[in-house]
Amino acid sequence: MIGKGIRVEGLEEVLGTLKNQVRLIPFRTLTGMIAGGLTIQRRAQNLVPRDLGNLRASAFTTWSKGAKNTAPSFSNDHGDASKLNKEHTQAVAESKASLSTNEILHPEVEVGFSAFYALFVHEDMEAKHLNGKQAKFLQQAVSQGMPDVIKAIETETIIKESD
Amino acid sequence: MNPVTVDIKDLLVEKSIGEWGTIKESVWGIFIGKEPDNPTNTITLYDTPGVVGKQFDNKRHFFHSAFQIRVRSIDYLDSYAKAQACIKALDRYGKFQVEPNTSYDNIIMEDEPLALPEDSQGRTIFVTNGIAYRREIA
Repeated sequence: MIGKGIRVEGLEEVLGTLKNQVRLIPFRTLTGMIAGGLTIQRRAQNLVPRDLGNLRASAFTTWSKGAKNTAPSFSNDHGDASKLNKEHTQAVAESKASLSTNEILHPEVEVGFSAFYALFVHEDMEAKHLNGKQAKFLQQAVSQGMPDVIKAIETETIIKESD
Repeated sequence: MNPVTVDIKDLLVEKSIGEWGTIKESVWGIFIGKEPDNPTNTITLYDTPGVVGKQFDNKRHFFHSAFQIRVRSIDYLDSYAKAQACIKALDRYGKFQVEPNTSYDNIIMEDEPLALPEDSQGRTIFVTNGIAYRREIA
């Protein structure tokens, strides 16, 4: 401190760090969205009706340049493993291609299930399922998991002292 | 505040899409939450997961209340046409109020009818989904 004025030393350094942090926020938004997407995926997988576990295994989370659960292991008890594998690869590829490649201005993440019967199980409100399993498993996961998604994005975009 | 299906049911009855809870075979019966075996022609409504939030005053809630309409009939085209009639009757319905404390801003039907596998009696089933944007009023 000098005289009546106040001089803060190191301000330029702080502003420089802040600028770098702000520059990183868009990239971190996508990181947070991916984390949020994976939370939704896990929630949905917990609600999915289970027979052989193939529907559960067919869940995926994608963004334009990446994906999670690209090579799940499908049971072949009904002879469907080959079809499920092929369609999973195709669904993940189509999902990635449909998302914005501008991950800074338009970050997008998609959560889905590739099994060919996923839509019918999801939409059949009259089907009987074991306790804790249900139709509308993805819709329910999104509905209940939104606070987790927002928190994941907030966590990633917060300006961190350590950076 | 009613389950959204109750208010949607009233709109469908008002628009003569079907009759509430009827077992008459000559008309389309409208039901909520459970599709009965009879009559043959049914429209069943389900409350599905939606979103609840708070308005700016942080006191009253707003709701994005989701619902599903499930239409069943022997004839494929009859089922499809009835599902389309439901969509047409509800989509972009606009503002209305339901006593005692609910204000609807709009209803949006989200998708075209989806054919599900036939039931055990060979009846065709179509489903379609919608969201009602509504809030509590003082």
